Amino acid sequence: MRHFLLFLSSLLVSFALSAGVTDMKSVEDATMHRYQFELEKPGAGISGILLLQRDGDEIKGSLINEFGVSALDFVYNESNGGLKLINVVSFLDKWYIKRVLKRDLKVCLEIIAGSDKRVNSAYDVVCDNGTTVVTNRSRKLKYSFSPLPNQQDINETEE
Amino acid sequence: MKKRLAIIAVAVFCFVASMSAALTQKQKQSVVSAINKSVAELSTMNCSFTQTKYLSLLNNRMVSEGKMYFKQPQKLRWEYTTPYQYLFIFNGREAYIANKSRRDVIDTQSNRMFKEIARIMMSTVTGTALTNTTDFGVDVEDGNGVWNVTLVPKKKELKKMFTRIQLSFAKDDYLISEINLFEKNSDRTNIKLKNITVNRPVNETLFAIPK
Repeated sequence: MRHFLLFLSSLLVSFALSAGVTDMKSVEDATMHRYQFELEKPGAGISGILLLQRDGDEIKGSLINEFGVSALDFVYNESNGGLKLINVVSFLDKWYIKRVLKRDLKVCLEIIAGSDKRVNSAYDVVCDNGTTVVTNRSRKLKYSFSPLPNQQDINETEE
Repeated sequence: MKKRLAIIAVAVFCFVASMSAALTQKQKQSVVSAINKSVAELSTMNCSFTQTKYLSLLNNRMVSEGKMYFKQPQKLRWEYTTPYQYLFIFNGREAYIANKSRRDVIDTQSNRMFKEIARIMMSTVTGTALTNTTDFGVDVEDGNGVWNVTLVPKKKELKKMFTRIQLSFAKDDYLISEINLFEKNSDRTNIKLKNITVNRPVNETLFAIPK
């Protein structure tokens, strides 16, 4: 079970890394940026939507599935490099998973924000027709990352 | 002048109070019975839908759209068409999940989690969740032209995700028109069903799971 949960957290991190590689300037304004993602390893895979939005020095993010159900939220503070995980779905809400998530998501977001544009050498990156496919060679994880078409931002939470 | 304002205030208060007046237990049971009767007469249903996810952390929302087809017994096709393509089919035994590059078939008889997901989806879409006291606590309120039925999860796994699920049924035909999923993190997902057609032939191939 623990290995499975660690695998899941690795998948999430791998995805976030791919987001950074694909569109490093994507989180430079307050627009909400949306990405469809898919993570695969031999015999298994998950998909969902990642939403990122800048708020001052912070980048806020939500990871949801296609039905709209939340998997986790996070806030990354660029000025002090701190990353806080919020509202982690119960099956990921374990200290050893969150430790991995917190450390790796921070790296991902630094890439996305443009403060560290080096691509980790442990990954293969292929960009094709707007979709980026990143392979984590050591874990044999393959994930794709596709920006979704823009929608008019509506900065409100209620209709 | 003060007296007139007071009268107006009282009148407004009475009006608002009457709008939100709680139903008696007998009235609630009557509404649930009417919904059950409507569901029992439902052989097929198809509609388009708009799903709006309200993200509390981002103070923003994401809108997606798609189509839904339902056929008794226990056949459901739930398809997102924009801004992403995602297809969920349940044929009573197997669940099929596909996006533009990945396809999975899950035997819900052997996968307890998916069996539960399919069962909850089906009972929520059709409204049979209203009588399932094992899964939910049920309350009914009089809304604006609709009956709002609030389902409060009882089971541990569902409680971890949702604080409550609200189903809205049109008063004229007792068909479901809106679903609201309230999550623990204060996010909400609203699904509005539109262009609803019931009891018309639905092509069986829509529920076929590609091999």
